[in-house]
Amino acid sequence: MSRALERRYQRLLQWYPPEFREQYGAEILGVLMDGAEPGQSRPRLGEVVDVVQAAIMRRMGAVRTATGAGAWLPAAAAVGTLAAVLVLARQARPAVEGGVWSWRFAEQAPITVIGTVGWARLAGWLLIVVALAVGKRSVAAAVAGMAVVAELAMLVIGVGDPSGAGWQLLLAAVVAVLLAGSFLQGTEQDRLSARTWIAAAVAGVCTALSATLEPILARQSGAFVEVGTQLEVNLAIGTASMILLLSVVTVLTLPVVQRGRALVLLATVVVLLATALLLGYDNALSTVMPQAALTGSPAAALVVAAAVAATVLAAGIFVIRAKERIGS
Amino acid sequence: MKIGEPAFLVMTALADRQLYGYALIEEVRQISGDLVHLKAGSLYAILDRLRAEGLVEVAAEEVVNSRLRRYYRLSGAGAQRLAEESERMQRQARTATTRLQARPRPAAPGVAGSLA
Repeated sequence: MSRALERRYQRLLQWYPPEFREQYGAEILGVLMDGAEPGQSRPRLGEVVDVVQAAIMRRMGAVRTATGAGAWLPAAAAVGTLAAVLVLARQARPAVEGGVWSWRFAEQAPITVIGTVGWARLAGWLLIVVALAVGKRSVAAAVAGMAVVAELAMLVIGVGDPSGAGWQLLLAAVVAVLLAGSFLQGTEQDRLSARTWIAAAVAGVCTALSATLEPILARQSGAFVEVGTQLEVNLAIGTASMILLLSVVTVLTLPVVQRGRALVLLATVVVLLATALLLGYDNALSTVMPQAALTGSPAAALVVAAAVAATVLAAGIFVIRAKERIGS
Repeated sequence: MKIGEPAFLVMTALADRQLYGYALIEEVRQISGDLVHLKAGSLYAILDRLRAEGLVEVAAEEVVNSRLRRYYRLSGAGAQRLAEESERMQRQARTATTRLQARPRPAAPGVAGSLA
């Protein structure tokens, strides 16, 4: 009789997430068994409702523990903010670069096409970053979501776009996903510190200003302006390394509980973008690195990149959990 | 974070003694004048939160009838927090009493009825 009841209670406890069950399962079972009436063979309705409700709240993360179960959302918001600043800087690069070209070479300057779409992107991302700066994170997330829809629409309709709609779609999607947690209750309060904002701003300004290097280092030979392929490759690698370094520095300004998680999220994003780029998701690299186009299909490149990034994320979550279990 | 009534009662029960799950439920029932009957799921949601906030800690563990009993007690921070909360509630209760005394006296219902 009692064995059957115990088995049924144990089955009821399956509603809890494994780590909670591991910690409290035996105790909760003890309380339920202590409270059982003689001859009782099944859990009472009130008990079932109570355990299931507590378990669901637990799984939804509504019952947040200070061990950091809830620290992923602020970490995602922080990385999302950094990503939004960098994307804004990326949108400013053509204008910066075009300005320096015409300043240095006047008539001979290569034409920089920004176009209506380019200016619209710059305005949209400026709006997102301003919303983040004044603490309206859910507004920023909503605008980032609209950017995803807009980029997708342009990709489908095939608007003539010099800077790769596919790449822009991926960037917008990354920021939108990272900021999506802001729609959940209670995450709006986790404002970023001034230090983090300064670090992110430095990363953004450096990203935008690095666009001046190519026109500054270019040589004029006769009527033509020359940019060596090797120089372009070096600049691309140098810029990418600098952005990565400044991003890591920004993440290190976060509170300790968020730092590890933010690094995992940053690594996931970097791996996603780098893999997509190297597999030829976008043609941005193919001009300087023809060997970059390894796969024929952008969709295939994206799927592979997403799989690799998901692996990195899973490994990161595992490492953080293991670390905190030892620490507690 | 705000402490709700069940968490307040759990902290009160643990203020001067160590208790394990089932005994804690019984103690809370007694303190609340048989009004609050915590169930297992609710109790451990509260205990986990209080532990995470450092207000309650594990005092001891033992195995009775091949079942784990974990005894909990109030931590130093928990005692301080409970004192603050208790003080806050006393202030509110005093205000309630004062305002009730200042309330304009209505006519006794029976008299009012017969006069109408």
